[in-house]
Amino acid sequence: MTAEGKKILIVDDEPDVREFVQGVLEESGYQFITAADGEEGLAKAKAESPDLAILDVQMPKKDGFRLFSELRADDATKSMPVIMLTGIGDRTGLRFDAEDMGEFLGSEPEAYIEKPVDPEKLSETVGKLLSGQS
Amino acid sequence: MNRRLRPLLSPGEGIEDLMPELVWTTPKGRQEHELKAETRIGRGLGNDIQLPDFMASTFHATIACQDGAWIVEDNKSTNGTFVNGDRQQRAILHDGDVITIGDVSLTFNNAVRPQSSTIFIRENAAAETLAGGKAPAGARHTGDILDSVFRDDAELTQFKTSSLTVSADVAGQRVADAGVLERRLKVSYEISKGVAATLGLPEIMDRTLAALFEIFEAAERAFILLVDPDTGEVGSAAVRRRVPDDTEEISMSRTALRQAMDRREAILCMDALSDARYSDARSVVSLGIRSMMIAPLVFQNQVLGAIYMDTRHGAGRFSEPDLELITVAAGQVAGCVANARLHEQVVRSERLAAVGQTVAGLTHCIKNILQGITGGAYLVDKALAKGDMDRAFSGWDMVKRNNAFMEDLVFDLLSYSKERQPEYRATDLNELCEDVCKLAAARGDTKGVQVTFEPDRTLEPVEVDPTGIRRSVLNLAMNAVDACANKGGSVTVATESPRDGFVRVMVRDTGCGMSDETRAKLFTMFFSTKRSKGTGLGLPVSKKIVEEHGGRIEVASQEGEGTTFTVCLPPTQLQKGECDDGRREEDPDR
Repeated sequence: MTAEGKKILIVDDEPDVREFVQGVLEESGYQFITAADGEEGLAKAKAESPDLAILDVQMPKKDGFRLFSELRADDATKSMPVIMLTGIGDRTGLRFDAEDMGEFLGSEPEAYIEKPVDPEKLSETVGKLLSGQS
Repeated sequence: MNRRLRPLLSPGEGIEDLMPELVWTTPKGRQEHELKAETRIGRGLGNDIQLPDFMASTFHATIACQDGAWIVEDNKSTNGTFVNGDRQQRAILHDGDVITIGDVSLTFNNAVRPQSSTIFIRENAAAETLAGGKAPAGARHTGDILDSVFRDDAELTQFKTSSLTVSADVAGQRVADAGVLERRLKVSYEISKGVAATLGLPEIMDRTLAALFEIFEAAERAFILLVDPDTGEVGSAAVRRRVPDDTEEISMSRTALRQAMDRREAILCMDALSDARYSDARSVVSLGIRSMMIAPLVFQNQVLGAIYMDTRHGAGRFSEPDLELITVAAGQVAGCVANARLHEQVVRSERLAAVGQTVAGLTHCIKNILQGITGGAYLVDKALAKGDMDRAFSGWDMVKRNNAFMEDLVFDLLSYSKERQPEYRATDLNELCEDVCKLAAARGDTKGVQVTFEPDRTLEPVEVDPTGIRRSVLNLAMNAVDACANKGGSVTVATESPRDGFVRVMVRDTGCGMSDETRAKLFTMFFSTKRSKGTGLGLPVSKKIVEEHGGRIEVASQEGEGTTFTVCLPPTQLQKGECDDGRREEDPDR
């Protein structure tokens, strides 16, 4: 399956971030589903079965960590690759990476990208995950 | 005057090894016993420490010093020797260990002595010279450490020790005459007044010296010396002279000072000048020091400094009751010094914590804004390359939006950090609020939120800083619009004439309301429910501005139903005169 037609779920309460992520990835022919909070993100993940999810961490209603855990706990979504976007390290003084978060969550997100997001890194990471190279 | 001078005493200089002691309590009161190389403990009469406890054996245990270590050894006692609750045949003792024999618990004290001030009387000794730091005449405090130079290092060897003690524990055993008590009370009162008035340490020290000077008419010079907590050096912190002194030297007996501080003993020197051995000492010759007193500043077994006083007016000008008095003062000053240092530490810690929190919050905030600016710029570049003008405009809007957030952040930061006095002007609060409503309505239009203004037309002009209050009310109104943005709703800004001493501006919204958790963090810096749209500084800034006016902000909120912020402001300020003619000044910033 080529990149074209693959569905990416973007969950972030910042419209600017959603727009930016779409702008970065749109040339590759992906389809986008967006959600503005964790609850909406979970509902859309179950309803639309995206091929990959990009999650913010700090969100209203359901934060990114909780959303990630619930996605992993559901058979329908547990194999979906997840990229987490976060600037949480700035506030906590901690630096999260996939391994750290994995220890915390009991399962590792496939990738972690810190805000402000580097478009090339985002594009490359998404490309690898969707082509199964991760 | 910040020049760095040489210290009176170097760190650790003259420290003497004191023998450890055992301390315990009996029905007769507190007991102390200084240990010797070997100390026997038991019920029998032949022991160094006799314990009248039937659980103790006749010769129960020994404490001895072996190779520098203090060791307690049980002497085959029937009921055993316990160290910190554990039965021991032989154990090395550490400071603070508790040895239990029978029902008696003896504390091994190997650090510093409990505070007591034994009076030493020296009848034929001279004060050697300790010259150096210049000190202007009259009361003053230096703040910086003055150093002093010893010109003569003679030892004081002829102290006679009296049995008089003035520690708090035994003060009652001594009957002081009414005059002494009165003087002591006066000094205590003066120091206490300084503490009660929350004066700074330098002022309290000056006040102490002034009170002592008033009482001791013979006194010519008095110093308070403090140990620098960082360097351990001793320097003068407060100086008072009866007569202006051209030499501006601080000179005193280093040995006496050292002895007072090392042994935690107050010292009374009856006649310094008559000692032939020190007749060439500079202070003795040039200043003619005759009588002097030194009392160490001791707080919780730590020596923080000393109070020194002397006179040239003859021998025997100070007495034992005088020394008692100066010792009482020293105890109080020591408490003040300890408090002041503790306070400094707390302030420093809090400042560091606040800086850390601020930096973390700022970094987060700026990163969010940077995400918008760099993200928007990326989209613009990409769209221009493709000739997609719609996408370029969209990216450009993102850049502008986040640029505005950055401007807000900088403005709020400046407002929050700046210590400022409001610039009061007679201000029409209705007019100010109407302006705010226009701005809020413009934002409301884009979000489907209606903004209305309900002025109290009877409201007279009030004395406020219009720029600051506009900022505060605007913050509240914009927040109110944002609170309604998701579910729709309305915002009402209303004014109210003085009631209970305050005029009021109410900002009501029918938005999402607040949880208790949000409400608790409302005025915390960098807390925002608006993510990167909020700097998390708006409400702290608003609160600060209103409080600078002597007002307050009240909050009432119901989650899911809405919130009302009420700004309460005193209608008039103390600073009158700017608008005494009743003219209503226009706000130049409008």
